[in-house]
Amino acid sequence: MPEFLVTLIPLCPLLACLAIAVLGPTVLKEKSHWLTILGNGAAFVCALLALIGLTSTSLIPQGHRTFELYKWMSLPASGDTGALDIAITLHLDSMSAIMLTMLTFVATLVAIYASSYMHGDPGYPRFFACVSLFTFSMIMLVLSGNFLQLFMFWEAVGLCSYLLIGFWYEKPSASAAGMKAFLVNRVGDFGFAIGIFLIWTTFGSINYADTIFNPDALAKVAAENPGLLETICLCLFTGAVGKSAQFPLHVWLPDAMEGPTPVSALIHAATMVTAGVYMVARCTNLYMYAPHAQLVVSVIGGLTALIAALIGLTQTDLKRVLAYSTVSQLGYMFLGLGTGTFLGIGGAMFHLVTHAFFKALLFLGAGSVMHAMGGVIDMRHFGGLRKLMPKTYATFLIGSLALAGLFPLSGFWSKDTILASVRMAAHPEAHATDSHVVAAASHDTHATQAARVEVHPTLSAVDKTQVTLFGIRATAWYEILFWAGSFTAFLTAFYSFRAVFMTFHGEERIPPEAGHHAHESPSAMTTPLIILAVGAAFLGLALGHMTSIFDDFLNKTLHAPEVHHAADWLVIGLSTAAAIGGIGLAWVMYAERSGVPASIAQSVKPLYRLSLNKFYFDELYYVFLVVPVMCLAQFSRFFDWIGIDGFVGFVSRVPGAVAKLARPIQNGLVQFYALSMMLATAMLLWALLVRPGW
Amino acid sequence: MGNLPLLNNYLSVGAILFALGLIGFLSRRNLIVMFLCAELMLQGVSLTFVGFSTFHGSWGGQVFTIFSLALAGAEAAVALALIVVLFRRNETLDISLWQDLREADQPPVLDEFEAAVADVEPVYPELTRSGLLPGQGREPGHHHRTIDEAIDEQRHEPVEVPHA
Amino acid sequence: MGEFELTLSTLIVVVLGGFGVYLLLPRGTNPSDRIARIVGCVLTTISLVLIASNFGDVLPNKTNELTFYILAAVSIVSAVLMIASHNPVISALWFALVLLSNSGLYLLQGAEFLSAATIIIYAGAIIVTFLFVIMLAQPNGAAPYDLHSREPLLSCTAGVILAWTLLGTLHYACNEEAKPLNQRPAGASSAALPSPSLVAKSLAGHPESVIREGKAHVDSLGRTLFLEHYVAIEVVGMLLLVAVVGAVLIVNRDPAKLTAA
Repeated sequence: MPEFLVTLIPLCPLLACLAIAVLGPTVLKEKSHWLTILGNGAAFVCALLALIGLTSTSLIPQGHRTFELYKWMSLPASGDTGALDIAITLHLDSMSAIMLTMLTFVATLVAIYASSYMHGDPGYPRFFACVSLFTFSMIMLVLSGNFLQLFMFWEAVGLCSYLLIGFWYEKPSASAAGMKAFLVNRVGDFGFAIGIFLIWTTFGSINYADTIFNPDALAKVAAENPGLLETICLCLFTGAVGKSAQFPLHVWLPDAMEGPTPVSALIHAATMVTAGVYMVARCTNLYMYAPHAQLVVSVIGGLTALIAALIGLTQTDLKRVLAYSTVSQLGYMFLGLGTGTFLGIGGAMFHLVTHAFFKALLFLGAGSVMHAMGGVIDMRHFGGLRKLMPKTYATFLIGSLALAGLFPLSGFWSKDTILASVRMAAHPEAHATDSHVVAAASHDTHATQAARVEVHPTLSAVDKTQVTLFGIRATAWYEILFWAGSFTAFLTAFYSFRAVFMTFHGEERIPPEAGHHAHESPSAMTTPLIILAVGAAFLGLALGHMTSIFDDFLNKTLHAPEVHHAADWLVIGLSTAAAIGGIGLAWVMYAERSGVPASIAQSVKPLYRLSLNKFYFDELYYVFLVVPVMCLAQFSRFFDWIGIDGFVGFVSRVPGAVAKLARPIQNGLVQFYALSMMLATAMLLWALLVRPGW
Repeated sequence: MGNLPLLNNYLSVGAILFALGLIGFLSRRNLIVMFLCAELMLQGVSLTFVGFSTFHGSWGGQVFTIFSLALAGAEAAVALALIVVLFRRNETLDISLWQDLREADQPPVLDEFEAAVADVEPVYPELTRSGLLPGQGREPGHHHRTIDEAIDEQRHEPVEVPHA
Repeated sequence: MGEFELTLSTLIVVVLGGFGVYLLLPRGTNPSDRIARIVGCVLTTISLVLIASNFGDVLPNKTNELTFYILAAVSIVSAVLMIASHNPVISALWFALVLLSNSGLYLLQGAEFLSAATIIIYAGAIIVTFLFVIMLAQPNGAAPYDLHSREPLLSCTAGVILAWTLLGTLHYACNEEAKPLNQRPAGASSAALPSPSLVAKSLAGHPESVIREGKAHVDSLGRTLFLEHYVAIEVVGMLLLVAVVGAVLIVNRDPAKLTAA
């Protein structure tokens, strides 16, 4: 019963959410977390079973299944508009199965962690209801089989994100951060919606089956109007930029750290922010026809990775360092996606999974520190905690090593793959056998795929080396991006170990807010840390290029003819050197508290300030976007006030003014009334009697 | 049937009486005189009716006049009763005092005569003083001060007694 | 244009009379008022004479004509003096004189019952009630509000306009009716006065309403009243009863008692 199994995956968190929402405040109260843990756990088990089912060719032979839950709307074609058939569907294939498993696993662990972390909070049931709602929405997003459903749950996870960032809504900064996240996402979602509209007008349908999984339709549109596909891809990417916090819409993610730390780990590190990556990967077939858009994806990803890493260097708030790190790692993923090779896309998806593990681990570790330090998260106020919190220290260290990309931890494998793919895109001639464009077909057999290439020979000749952006050739761009990515790897290692050393090394310092009960966190918090640490340590080794399990499984969706590639020793050497160099530099500067960082900051003060103030993005947006909008709002307000209200007020005052003129007539004097009556009578008499004679 | 110039004569007299009654009604202030003027207008109309009755050789006009006579009686009864009540209220028959049904924010209408009257300082009546001061019981053999005496004592002191 | 001149001459006469009345109206106790009153008297008289000069020489015999002129003059002059009087008592007495002369005019037109009724009810009952109330409600001496008129000029203007409209119309209609039919402007006179024959036709359905010479006057009027207008008679009787009860109730409502309650 695979249908029932797949339906259970979103159903369990939904039921948990509804039950907590109804019963939470009155019945469940401090036991609300059980429902969320149970719901997420059940969803994880189902997702794992589905994953296993996909590996066996006997259960789901074609490698993917689409279940229609119910018909949502069915509009007949009329005039210019085509028919619109939308059903709520669940589309299961290897890519969504990977996402689902990772998502439900992390969500379960975070729920267990949060049951201890959020203990005693007045909004305890509300928190778990939101988390369950988020899990449900994210599952539906991943499983959706058409663009409208994708968009709907894309917005639903945004709503959950908003609710959870502003969870402590009494705090002005938290509610402002929630609003900022929501508003910045609107910008991206605007483009996303336009992209979906374009898909509908172009293909006449918004189901995956008729668009991105239909190579004939794609080829037809590409032959007729290749620019249209570029536009669609760019619009969709705009949505991804907003959701995945890429430059220039990355500003909301660091502020989102105002939410509870488990939320930061689950939504703003592991799952929701990767929705953009997932969506672009899902639309791979579409992007294959849009080389310019792919290049844009790569450039934006690489740029974001570098900028975020530079900002992360100087942040003192532990969670903000991790937030910029997340932005940076998401940039890596887009960098890989944009290469358009199986190596890059597979690397991005793999990095998505490994990143979910080690970044969730790091956030939960930071939450553990915060928990022990009485809510203090500024790294300057504490230090040397490794003896006090040994489990947290150990797991955090593993997470940082994975993030830095040190062999053989998971980050090494995934980041390496991405960098190798970028280098391959920069030198296509050197990797002639590997540079196979991923076939834009998933439902076809290899035979029809070959036939398609024959029917549209020009398509296979889309030579990315001829693509230019701002007058620079694609290969040159990828060369630049490769070195930028490598440099970012160095920076990543540096700032992650800067955080480790500042927090856990040096002399022991505990802020007064922590009181006398600074201690290691309870086992409900450390157990998820340990599980995640195991994953972060061995996932790459187990599933990465050594075994190629992940690639083979993902290829059930992508259908690349060639998935294996030779190890690129230059990349491996470079990234290992960058990781070790970064860690070493951090050791020199931060292992013992010294004046070295301050003096360096003093010597390059402008650069330091630039990084510390996050490249002044918020200020720039404030001056160039917020202020004009506020001016417009003020103008509108005054227009409404003076123009519209004034007009309405004027209209309402006209009868009053007329009445004011007429009011003295009503003077209460009988004789005046008689006079008026008489004059009117005389006038009538005149009109009736005298005038006809004249 | 009728004599037209004769009718014209009666109608003219009736019209003049009506116009005079109107002038009186509009210009006089006394409620009773105003009412008399209204009756004068009724007389003018009655004369007209009788004139038409004779002219047409019909009883209609005279019957109408009889009814108006009865109505005038009823009207006089009610109106005079109302006038009596109004007069009891504030001892005047001036119609100008009864402007209360005007718009709330309008000042009362005052012509030159009323403005002149309003400027004059009112003269309050001086009461004859008599009796004991309040609060004093009568006891034999004790001289009780009267109010007159108390006021006289106060007059000798420099404190100024208010006029009213 | 003849009509226009006629109306204009009426206007002049009426304005003259109106101005006279304006001068006669009470306007304080100024010594110069005496002159104004005399001038007013003269103007009013001239106006009346001018109006009378327009009256046709129509009465069957000279005695009747003379009686009409005397009665009409007394009636109008009494009316003028009534509205001009400073004292409401005198006003009421002048009004009694108006009533007396009016009953004379009724008598001249053959309305004997009405003439008697006017004297008995009006002059006998209503005026007496008036005087009674005046005595009851009159402060000592001439009240200041009796010495001053409210907006005399405006009132006189209004009266003049009304009188001009009425008299002008009468004049015009009378002249038109006197002309032969073919000289009248189309639709002019029939709008002003219905022709007597038309009225006779409409009366044909009500035989009791027609005044027949030689029949007992009161007998005939009584038949008309109680055969044709009996409902109205009952209603008026009821009205009188209600008025009497209402008057008693109104006067008996003592404000002091009301506030005490």
